[in-house]
Amino acid sequence: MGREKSRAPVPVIPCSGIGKVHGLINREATYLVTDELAPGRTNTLCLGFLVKRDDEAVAAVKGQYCITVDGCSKACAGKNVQMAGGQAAASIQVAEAFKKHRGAKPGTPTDLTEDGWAIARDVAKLVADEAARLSSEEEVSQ
Amino acid sequence: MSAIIAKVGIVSCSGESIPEGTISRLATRRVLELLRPDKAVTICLPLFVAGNEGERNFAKTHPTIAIDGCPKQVRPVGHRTAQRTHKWRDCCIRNPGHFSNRLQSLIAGFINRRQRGCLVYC
Repeated sequence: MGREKSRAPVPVIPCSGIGKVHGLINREATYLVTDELAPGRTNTLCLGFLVKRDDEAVAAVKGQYCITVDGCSKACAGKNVQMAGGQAAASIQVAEAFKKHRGAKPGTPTDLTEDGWAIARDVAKLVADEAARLSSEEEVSQ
Repeated sequence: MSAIIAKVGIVSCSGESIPEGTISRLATRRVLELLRPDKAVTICLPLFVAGNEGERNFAKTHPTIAIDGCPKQVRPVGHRTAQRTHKWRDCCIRNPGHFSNRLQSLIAGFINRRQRGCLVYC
């Protein structure tokens, strides 16, 4: 991996879930990472572009380590990143994060409750930690 | 003999990297929850475009409204796929910009016309 590529922000790609609260949680978690926890070190792009095989989007992930965040077991984000030639350094399932919050009422696909935001923050921390690990590995390998 | 009118499907851009994606998504959710709760359904875009047969058949079983957040129009790719084998494609709404309220009423209006049996092409 070249120097320029290794310094590129890590793409964080959430699924586009619209029917369940999981889709909103992974979307908000992604924004927490790209806007607050790891701005500059991470960025995001539309999963729809990857599904469509948009040239620009494919170039952004091809051969690049990515972090995918999926809301359900169909794992649309993880699968499409792989099909576009990206390498999923971490594939995070929002449903896994729910296990630490048994009985939580996260809200709806439109609005998160405090429980929902707590789960989103947990997911965001996982993603930010993984992005930090990837960045430090790349610095060591240079 | 009574006609069975299917629920209207809304397939929305959920573009994660642009504000218009969030606007499209929220407008769609508001239509589903508040404006036309019993008349509309939705599906995740990746499932609609690349899911299993049942998911790809969404446009066959529902008259659909497509909402695009940017000029790349990810949605019509799915619609072209659907159009080849299915007859439904009611309308596309492109580039909602910042007019979320206007967008919601547009979608609700299309659904009303569809429920009255009027096809809408644009």
